Amino acid sequence: MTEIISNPNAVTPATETHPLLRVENLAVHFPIRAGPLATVSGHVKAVDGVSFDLHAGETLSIVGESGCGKTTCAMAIARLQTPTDGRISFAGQDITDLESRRLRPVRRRMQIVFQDPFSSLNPRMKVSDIVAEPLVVHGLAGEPDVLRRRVGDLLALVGLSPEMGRRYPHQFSGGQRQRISIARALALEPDLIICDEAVSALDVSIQAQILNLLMDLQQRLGLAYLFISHDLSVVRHISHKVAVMYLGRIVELADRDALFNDPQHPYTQALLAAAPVPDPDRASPYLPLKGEAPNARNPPSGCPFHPRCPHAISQCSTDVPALRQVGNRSIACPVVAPA
Amino acid sequence: MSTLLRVEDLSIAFGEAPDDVRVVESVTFDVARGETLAIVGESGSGKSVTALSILGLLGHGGSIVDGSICFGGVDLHTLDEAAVRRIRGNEISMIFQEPMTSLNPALTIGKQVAEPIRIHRGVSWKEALEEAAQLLERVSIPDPRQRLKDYPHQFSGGMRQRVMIAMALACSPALIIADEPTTALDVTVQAQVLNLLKTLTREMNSALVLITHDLGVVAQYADKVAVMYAGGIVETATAQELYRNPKHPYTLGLMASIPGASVNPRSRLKAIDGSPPDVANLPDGCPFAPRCQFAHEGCTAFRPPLRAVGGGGHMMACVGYD
Ligand SMILES: Nc1ncnc2c1ncn2[C@@H]1O[C@H](COP(=O)(O)OP(=O)(O)OP(=O)(O)O)[C@@H](O)[C@H]1O
Ligand SMILES: Nc1ncnc2c1ncn2[C@@H]1O[C@H](COP(=O)(O)OP(=O)(O)OP(=O)(O)O)[C@@H](O)[C@H]1O
Ligand SMILES: [Mg+2]
Ligand SMILES: [Mg+2]
Repeated sequence: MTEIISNPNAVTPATETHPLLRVENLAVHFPIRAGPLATVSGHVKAVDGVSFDLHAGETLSIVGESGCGKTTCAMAIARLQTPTDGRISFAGQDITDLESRRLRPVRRRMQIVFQDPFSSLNPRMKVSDIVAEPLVVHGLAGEPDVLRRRVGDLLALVGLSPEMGRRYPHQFSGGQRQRISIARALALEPDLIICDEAVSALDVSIQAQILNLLMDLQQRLGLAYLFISHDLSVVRHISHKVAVMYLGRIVELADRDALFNDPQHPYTQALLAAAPVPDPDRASPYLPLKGEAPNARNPPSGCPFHPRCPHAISQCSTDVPALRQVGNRSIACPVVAPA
Repeated sequence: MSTLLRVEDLSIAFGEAPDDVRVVESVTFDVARGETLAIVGESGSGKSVTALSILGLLGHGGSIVDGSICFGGVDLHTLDEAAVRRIRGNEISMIFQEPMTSLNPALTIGKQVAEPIRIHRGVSWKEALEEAAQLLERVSIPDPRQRLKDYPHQFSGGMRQRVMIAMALACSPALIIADEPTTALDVTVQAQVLNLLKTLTREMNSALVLITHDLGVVAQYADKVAVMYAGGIVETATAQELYRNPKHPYTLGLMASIPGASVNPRSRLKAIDGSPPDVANLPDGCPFAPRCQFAHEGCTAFRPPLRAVGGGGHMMACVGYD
């Protein structure tokens, strides 16, 4: 794997007024069909009013319960899923309704590593062709020799030998496939990479190499990452900012240290407390969240977390709390952050 | 505790001899009833292939070239295909690493979860669907009866993973092999699901083989751990012993790579130097030697077998150092 020298704390996120990505009130609702005629009987509000800014050179992570809408959010931003409402701006341009022809230059600058690596790799293509594809599609392939070398370099960057490019996706392990997806996303040197559980199938050593690579590219090229992950220690390591989602909404958004050292939203607190510790002598007692997992098709009234919240007051079951700036964070909770 | 599964000197290759590539080399481990064995190790080191071979699911080009797999005292190799199929599904269940590839996109979740229940238990569709709903409920899928009518693409990544887990539980198997079963689950749902698996293992006196990269999960849920590198087991011990007293240089490197609260955020993470090996081109001798800080000339002579280091079943495959 290529060696990268990076200086701790050298990265200072850009703070100019123009964010690279601005998401405003994003909503994605899926119709629920029922009965023999498949009539629409309601909607799943998979994403319901999500807003955030992401600047060049910055990593924003999204964490939250399985099924809370992270992937749907990512797909909408990458314009692979039509938003029901809201606006997505990339590099100052509103891309919410951009037609596919005019979306091409945007796609070049915004890449996504999908959560399920295998289903996103064409099983009939050799891995070297898969990694080369974005370069070919965007007319940046160059001479065959140059392309071959470039693909070899990309594979080496993610810890695969260039000879392995001759094989097909099914001949690789889960983590190797994940690294193929990362190599492909890096091929175009995009400005933004959306990583949806992009390192979840890697052992911690290879994961460390990949995270070092991502941080190094960020430092050199000013890449931004929208990083979706369940691994809280990874999130803590690489993020500048962290958004916590619950049932389609952001409930807390703060700088990494503020969020991890001083979580405020009751859901954030419950989430951080459940992280398993790599030490058998410090087995944390299992304290499940009380109550049932929330149903996105029939969400609780008021604050979606209130049925499971230890601090809920009567207002929580009636009023949907808005995300408000309080001190060093944005938070949606009338109890810990009263208006 | 009685041994339920014993894998001995297992070697697996892909392709035709003499050009075949050995991806698993002389792997030996056992799991007793009531026990959880975690298999950890490098990406590409042979964990999934080992698991698939136990179920006879290596697929095209893959074959067991050496060794034996004994389940409940019976060598699976001596059974015909029909007998192996009966064991798989009834007595051994597998939770696959990539749920989307093992769920059929064209069938509803209900059909896929209920069908094996109906076949293996001979119950009616209605009963099978009801049981399927209860299983989904146990893995915290909200509104399970309604969601049985949905297709896989309408589920989130973690929900699909939980569907796979529910399917694995359906026939109360004696052995569950779970290959990265919680990579798409947040830590609260993960704790719920792993506690469920652990409780069932204890209640039904069954066994769990847990393949995972999450060393936090291993510490909290495993009784024993096997560490794999380049197709072989390089170290095995009880979980407590392995974390207190890791010995093999690869295990040491792995432990040092965990990003934790003690590491400065955004600093360069420690990783094992050098590139992961390509199993098609392994060096002579110990496959870890090229990346090992303790390596010397003796390390290239032969691939070191596991040997006892200390008591309590702690073993490692390294000649160079103690
Ligand atoms: N069908 C196949 N043909 C050829 N080689 C294969 C095939 N399937 C797997 N391999 C190779 O076998 C080795 C072991 O793969 P396996 O899937 O068991 O790894 P793993 O330990 O599960 O890794 P991960 O943690 O990344 O899932 C890898 O080097 C892989 O490239
Ligand atoms: N195509 C679809 N049709 C209907 N519902 C859908 C569809 N895609 C997703 N959903 C629902 O939207 C919600 C959010 O799903 P999403 O995949 O965004 O979750 P996630 O946060 O990525 O979860 P995970 O961590 O498990 O991957 C879930 O309740 C899911 O069932
Ligand atoms: Mg997802
Ligand atoms: Mg695997």
